[in-house]
Amino acid sequence: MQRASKFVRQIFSAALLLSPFSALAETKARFDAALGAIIVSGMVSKDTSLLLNDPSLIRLQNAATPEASGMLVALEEVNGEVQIKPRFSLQTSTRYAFSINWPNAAPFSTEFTLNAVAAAAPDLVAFSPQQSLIPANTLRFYLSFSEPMARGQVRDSISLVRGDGQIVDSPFLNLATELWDGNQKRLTLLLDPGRIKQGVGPNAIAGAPLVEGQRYQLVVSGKMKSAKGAVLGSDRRAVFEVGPPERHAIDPQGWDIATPHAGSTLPFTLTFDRIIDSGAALRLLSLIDPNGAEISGTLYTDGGGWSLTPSTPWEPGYYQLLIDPELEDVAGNTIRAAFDATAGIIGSTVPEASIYVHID
Amino acid sequence: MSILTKSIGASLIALAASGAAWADASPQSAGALAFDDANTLFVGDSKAGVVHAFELNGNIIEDQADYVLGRAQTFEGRTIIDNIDEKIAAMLGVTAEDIVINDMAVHAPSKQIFLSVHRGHGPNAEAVILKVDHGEVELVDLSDAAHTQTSVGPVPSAETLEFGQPLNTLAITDIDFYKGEIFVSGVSNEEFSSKLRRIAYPFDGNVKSTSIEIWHAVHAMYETRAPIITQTIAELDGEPTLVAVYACTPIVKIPLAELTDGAQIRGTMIGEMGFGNTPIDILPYVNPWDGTSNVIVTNTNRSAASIKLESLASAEAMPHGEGVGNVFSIAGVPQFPLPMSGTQHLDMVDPMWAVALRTAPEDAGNLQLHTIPLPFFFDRADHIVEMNWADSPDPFGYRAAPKLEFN
Repeated sequence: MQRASKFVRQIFSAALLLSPFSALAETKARFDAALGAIIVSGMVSKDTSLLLNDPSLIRLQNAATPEASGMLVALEEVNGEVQIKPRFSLQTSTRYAFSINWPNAAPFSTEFTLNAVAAAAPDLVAFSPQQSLIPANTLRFYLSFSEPMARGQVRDSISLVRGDGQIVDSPFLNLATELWDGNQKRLTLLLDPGRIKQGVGPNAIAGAPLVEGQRYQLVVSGKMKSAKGAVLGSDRRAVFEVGPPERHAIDPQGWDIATPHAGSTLPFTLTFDRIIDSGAALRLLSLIDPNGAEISGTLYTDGGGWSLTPSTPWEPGYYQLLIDPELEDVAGNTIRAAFDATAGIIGSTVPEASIYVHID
Repeated sequence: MSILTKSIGASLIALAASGAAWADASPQSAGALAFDDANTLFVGDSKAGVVHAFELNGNIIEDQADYVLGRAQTFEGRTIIDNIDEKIAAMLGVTAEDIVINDMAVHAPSKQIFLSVHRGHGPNAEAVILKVDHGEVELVDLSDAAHTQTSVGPVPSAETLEFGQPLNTLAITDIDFYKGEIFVSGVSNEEFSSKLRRIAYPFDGNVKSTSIEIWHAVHAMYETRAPIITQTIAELDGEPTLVAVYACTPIVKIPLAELTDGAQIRGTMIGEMGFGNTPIDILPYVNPWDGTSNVIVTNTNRSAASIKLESLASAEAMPHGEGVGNVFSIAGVPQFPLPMSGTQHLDMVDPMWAVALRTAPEDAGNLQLHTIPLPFFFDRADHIVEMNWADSPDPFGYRAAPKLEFN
């Protein structure tokens, strides 16, 4: 930031030296990165008043759009200098034109660029489901990046390629909105449910995006950019094989439960009979202690299992594993119904399910 | 002096007096927009997981009644702004690639158009609300408006927080106001859920979250759930009814009376918009020629379609269950196709006019705000039609009409 500020100052000084107008010889402008403001100093008080009374004399704008009206700015007089704060922050690596168009004197004008702070190159750090064999009717992928990514690139940057090199046509639901987490580090890709659901047009005509027995690569283009504009650099690939579809409701009775001994802080561990959505598993499974309080600790899931390592040792007694009815496996099946439910099932209300286990 | 400069001056006097920097009343993100019957602007903020309500006052809303929208009699709309993305970008000190126009809504009493815009594509993209005043885009200073909000997103738990940001988010896709309540739909990034949120306004802290489950009539034997993308409330035979379009794209109707807290409902699937497509907006309108009530549905990959409310009211549930064949195309309630490709957002301005944010028919690089006459949503200039040719027959007397002069 220091460097950026100095750089701008130099540019402004250079502009000033070039200015042939003696009336403005005292006027200096610099950019204060900490304030995010341009500071104009050295004006006679008459000019300062003129400027404060008519801020439209100032024009600050991206130099790439010379015909545009100025950006919105706020003016404030501080210690005899005028601080000009743009309503929207100035961006690095962008050239700005700044001018004061005096009514009865030659304009003061200059251009400057804020130096870019080198942005870290992003990387694809996780792909979920992380299992090498996934159901043919998998509904959702998660891609986790090391850096916040820019929105608006998914359609052009991510493709699904079959083992024989053929690109799968339109495998993802084309929502207007991309589904990112709040940090824009984790992207959710929904495979087009119309192509997964049995008996619907896209499924019958275009076929399922994932075919049992085939190998696939999810390819993320090396051109995909972080929010700060740094590119991945080279294509990233997640490789998986497709197995039989999972078309049954989740049945927690099929899970293996490993209970630790009382007094220990070993993890309580579930092993699922299928791949559960890893996002949902972190949020929609909870363990209640014998006193009715939710256990806090460290959660881990890879979708194939789930473990909770408690912050304090286990007490003996009955524990209740709560399963929220919204919990989904990777194919969108819930404890209430399969994703493609037989007619008449999913309207029925199923409360939260629970399993009681004894720790001794 | 341009309007932009004027607004700079006005803002600055206040700011200079207070000595404050820009007051930050902006939402964290600004997506779906809707107005109530008066001056409240609802803004869907997916990032914060809330819907904001801004009571816009007379300083913000400017009457546009004198702005000529075109000449409906001769099917001539008006381009209000060409290259609107570039103009907005310039205002925000960036180039057009750095802005996204997320939604558009018209404040019906003043006919003023409002836009929700993001400056930047990163998690810290700045959310901006803009308005159009006599063909010029202006920034709305939300600090001037009384503000309340209601939570609609998932409540983050400690486990889902990574560096203080929730992983689980709800992308709000539509907000509709009807008689003191808003209806909010969205797509979760962790659940394939058909939850619809029903919230009384003014906000009192209660969110009725209704799970609506539907037959997917394209299925011969199966039923499923899917997120609602857009919805509207229409009175069908006098009964207020939610008409919703889902992802991949059944149309469903559900009487509002059934949307009670926590209810699980099988909506009546009455039509199919065709697959390989997601809906954008569904909007009610009255046909000014015959007085019939209708809805129009705009789509990502198909042209728009209109449906008469009468047809919606009388539509029977599409056949479903065992023994019923697959439905692969547009089916169910009769739909009338409308020539509106390239439409990104649509809203009604008044009984004769809609406004579209669209790519210009002759130049895909030109994102424009353009008015479209009802009831056919048809602008002659957009199409190669015989009546546009100089030596063609002129049965409706279009060429006799004087050339349009816009104010």
